Amino acid sequence: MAASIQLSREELCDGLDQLSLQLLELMDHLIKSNMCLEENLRSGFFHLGKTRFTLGMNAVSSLQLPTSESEVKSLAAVISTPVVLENYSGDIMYHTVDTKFLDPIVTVQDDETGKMISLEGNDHDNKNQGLRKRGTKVDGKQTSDEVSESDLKKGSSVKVKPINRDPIRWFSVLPPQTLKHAQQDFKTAIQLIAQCATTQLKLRAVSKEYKRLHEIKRKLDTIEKEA
Amino acid sequence: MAVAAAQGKLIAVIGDEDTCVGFLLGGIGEVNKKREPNFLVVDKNTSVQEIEECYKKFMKREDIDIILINQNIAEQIRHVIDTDNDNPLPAVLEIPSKDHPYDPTKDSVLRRAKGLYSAEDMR
Repeated sequence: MAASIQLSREELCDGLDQLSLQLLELMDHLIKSNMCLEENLRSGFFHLGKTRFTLGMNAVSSLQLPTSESEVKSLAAVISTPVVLENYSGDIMYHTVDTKFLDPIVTVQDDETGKMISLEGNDHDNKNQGLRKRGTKVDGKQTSDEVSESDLKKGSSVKVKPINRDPIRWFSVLPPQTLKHAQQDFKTAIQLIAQCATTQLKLRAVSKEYKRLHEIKRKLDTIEKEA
Repeated sequence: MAVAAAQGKLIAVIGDEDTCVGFLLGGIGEVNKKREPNFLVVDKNTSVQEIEECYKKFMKREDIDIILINQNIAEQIRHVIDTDNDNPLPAVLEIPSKDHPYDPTKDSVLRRAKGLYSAEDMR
């Protein structure tokens, strides 16, 4: 009995040591990630300030944010996946978080031809093709590609509703470079946030396990004292 | 549920004007079909009660995986944030704001992790 307690006690202590080290590393990592996030945010705030200087104080404010009357879809999504904690003998699960940015330019189904048409003239391939073939017109005749492209542009036979969901359009139709920089800074911050969240979730899982083992050790200690 | 997981979940934000504007500019903003936004702009007129209610609402929502909250605002509702929540998600991240830099000693998760070590354990 005494030997089994001794053995489990050693295992417990090893486990606690491992978890303690992981805890310290994770805390350090979380603080560093947060510092990195802070730098990015500071740069983003600075660029927002510069944009306000250019466009005016109220051009970049909460007045431009969507209200509850309008329906807006998020362009950044997080995907959490449960994984098992590495470098530890027990099965501890935690979630890793990844970010996914969606394309702000929406493609809609063409009713008549069934083709997918890209909006906002973002279909660079088609445009380039049209440009490349501009010299191929013979006696004022158009190639089949150009005919279809011109039909699309006319919009007579195709019903296309252009939607650009990029949030930068809320603030300005012609966004200044500083606003674009600010957007980039905040996008990077969102990616860093996913890293921070992963570290934090790992930290929580490790501390929970540490607490559990510590409780068991405390019980063993009391049993030993009584014996 | 599986479709929602494949599409990804949301990031919610409770913060001052600049923080909300910045993150919404980054593309996290959503107002769903129930007309519920995933952000709250906190200004001097926002009461602690409102912040608390919004935080609790975000915690209950299943489409939110991360809640961002400015550390100075988190300080106001610390008693709610510190309540032990068994669910790992949504993760609550305390982030710095324009006027208040990040302070690790105030961070709820770090304080809880530090609290695991006591002087008796080190003997």
